[in-house]
Amino acid sequence: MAQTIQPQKPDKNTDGSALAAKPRIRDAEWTLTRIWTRYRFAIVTVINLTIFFIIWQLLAKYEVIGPPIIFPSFTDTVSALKIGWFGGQVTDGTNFGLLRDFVIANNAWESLQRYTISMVIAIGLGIPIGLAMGGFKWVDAILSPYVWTLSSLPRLAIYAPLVLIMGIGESIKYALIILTAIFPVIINTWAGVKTTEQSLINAARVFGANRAQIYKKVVLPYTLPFVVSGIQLSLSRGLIGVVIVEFLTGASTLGGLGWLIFRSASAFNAPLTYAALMSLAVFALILVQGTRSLEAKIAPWRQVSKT
Amino acid sequence: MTPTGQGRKPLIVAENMTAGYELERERKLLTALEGVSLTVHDGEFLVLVGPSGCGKTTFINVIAGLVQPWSGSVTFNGKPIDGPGEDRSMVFQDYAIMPWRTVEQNIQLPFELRPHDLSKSDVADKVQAIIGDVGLTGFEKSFPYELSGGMRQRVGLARAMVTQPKVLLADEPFGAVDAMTREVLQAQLEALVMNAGQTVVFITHSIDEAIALGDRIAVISNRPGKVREIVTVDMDRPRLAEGEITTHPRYGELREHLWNLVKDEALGAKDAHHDDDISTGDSRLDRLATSPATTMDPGI
Ligand SMILES: Nc1ncnc2c1ncn2[C@@H]1O[C@H](COP(=O)(O)OP(=O)(O)OP(=O)(O)O)[C@@H](O)[C@H]1O
Ligand SMILES: [Mg+2]
Repeated sequence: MAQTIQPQKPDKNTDGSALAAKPRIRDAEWTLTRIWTRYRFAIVTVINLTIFFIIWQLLAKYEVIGPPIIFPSFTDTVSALKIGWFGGQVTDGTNFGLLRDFVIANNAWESLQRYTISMVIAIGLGIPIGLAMGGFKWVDAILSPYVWTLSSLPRLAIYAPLVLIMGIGESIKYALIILTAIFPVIINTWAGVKTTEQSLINAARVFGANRAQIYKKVVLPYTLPFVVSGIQLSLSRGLIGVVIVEFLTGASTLGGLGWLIFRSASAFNAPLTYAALMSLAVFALILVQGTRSLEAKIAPWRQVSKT
Repeated sequence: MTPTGQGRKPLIVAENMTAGYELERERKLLTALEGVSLTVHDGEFLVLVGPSGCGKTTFINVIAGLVQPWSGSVTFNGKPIDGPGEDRSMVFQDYAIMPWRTVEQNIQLPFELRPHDLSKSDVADKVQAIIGDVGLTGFEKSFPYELSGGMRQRVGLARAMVTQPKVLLADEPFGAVDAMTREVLQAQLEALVMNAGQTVVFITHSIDEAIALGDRIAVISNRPGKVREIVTVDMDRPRLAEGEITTHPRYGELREHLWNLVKDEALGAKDAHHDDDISTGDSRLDRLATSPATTMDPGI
């Protein structure tokens, strides 16, 4: 599962009293070192990204990859981002086609609503299904063929029969996103219940736990970190689902961020494509980081497996 | 105080008891104990020693009501054991403390699981007192991952003792603590048991510990385990409060006798134990392998 590397806080001794006795020059050295150790990651990232954007700009300027309608410059992409999110004057060099004021913001909002609702449903259904499958043999026996088949099937393949049943509307979008996202939650929750350490269950039994208490006091807490990992996986799966479904169903306007990426590319509005893509990437990044800290908050005792 | 369990009322009686496990993957049965007859008297401190894998843990699991014997009978107070009960608590060989609970919360668990008529503050007081007894003061709010192996083991010990159960089943409870702490805990346990009149079934790999603590010592033979011999430790209590027990005139004799018995079994176990590992292939074996090193070394 995803592992976070916890930044080590400097030991108290290294910047505490022991240091005061040392000569001044060493002090200065220490301060620099400390700034470096503390902000190392930020500094490296800023340098890294700056180089990345400069190379991007140069590649576009000298048309190494292709003309601007295929590979936009960084600056054009930034102005597409600005207009797409905050509105404003369209500058030279950007294709007017799709780029309207707030076009990214509106489509992002569209996708975000769709995504949030689908994820709430997927997680809200997935956890109880996983718990029931892990806890009751007969539920497991009945559901597991479907769960394992559907979870190993590429979700794109379910699209065709779903269209036959549901037609192309809003509901098929939700259905496909949920189907894309739900299985990691189910399977992780199930695995948590199934792998609960027998010795912990035995201990609870010795100290008087009945079946309900075993679930409440042992199985559920043991399973919680598994559920969190499942949710993390599901969230990124769901994001894939949103983009795919918006690409497949299409729309004339306002089809969502996924739709905007594909639609603008086929309209050869490369800056907009890149701007929309960057917006999606930033969102995905925030999501992943957010759920990581969620894991550390919900299950601090899991730190033992991270060292 | 009488040094032995003789003359007291039988509390736990195993008669011709056979127990083992079903190895699901290999579809076969593994006999851990065969034809064990053993009586634990009320208020007695009984120690079980024997080679690794001979079925000691299985035996106290049967008493705890976690493992059902295949045949024979095991009774507690005259009634067959059919599950765990309030009167028996256990210190687990692999600690089995909940990683998501702090020290305090772990020790408090028995009070959460069984109904009782103590007030919240009474429970808190009891928990605090036992934390002091096992030397974990200051770590009340720590999670198990923040503790050393020996400290975790003491959490397990405290959890088992906090309710002052009639019977304490202790599976190598001092296996992971250092020699000094071990001595302190042994003396405390002896004092506690002497005062409360608890019955203890105690597993150890250390012959010294067995002699120091036991009223009687049952030597279990290789798997399938049987009672090879029961040795009565005819030494007065308290043995540990005054310090050097090893200078006691009986000490050397008992030690040599036990050492020979255990050595016999341990040597015999080597061959048997090898295919044992392969044939069971159980994850439990891995856990046992990583459990604290306990030796049967004869000491100095
Ligand atoms: N849950 C289990 N499933 C299957 N086999 C088991 C299980 N627990 C123990 N065994 C087997 O039963 C036998 C006796 O095990 P037990 O744990 O009682 O030994 P022990 O005397 O406590 O050993 P040790 O001193 O190493 O703790 C061993 O051969 C072991 O492989
Ligand atoms: Mg054992």
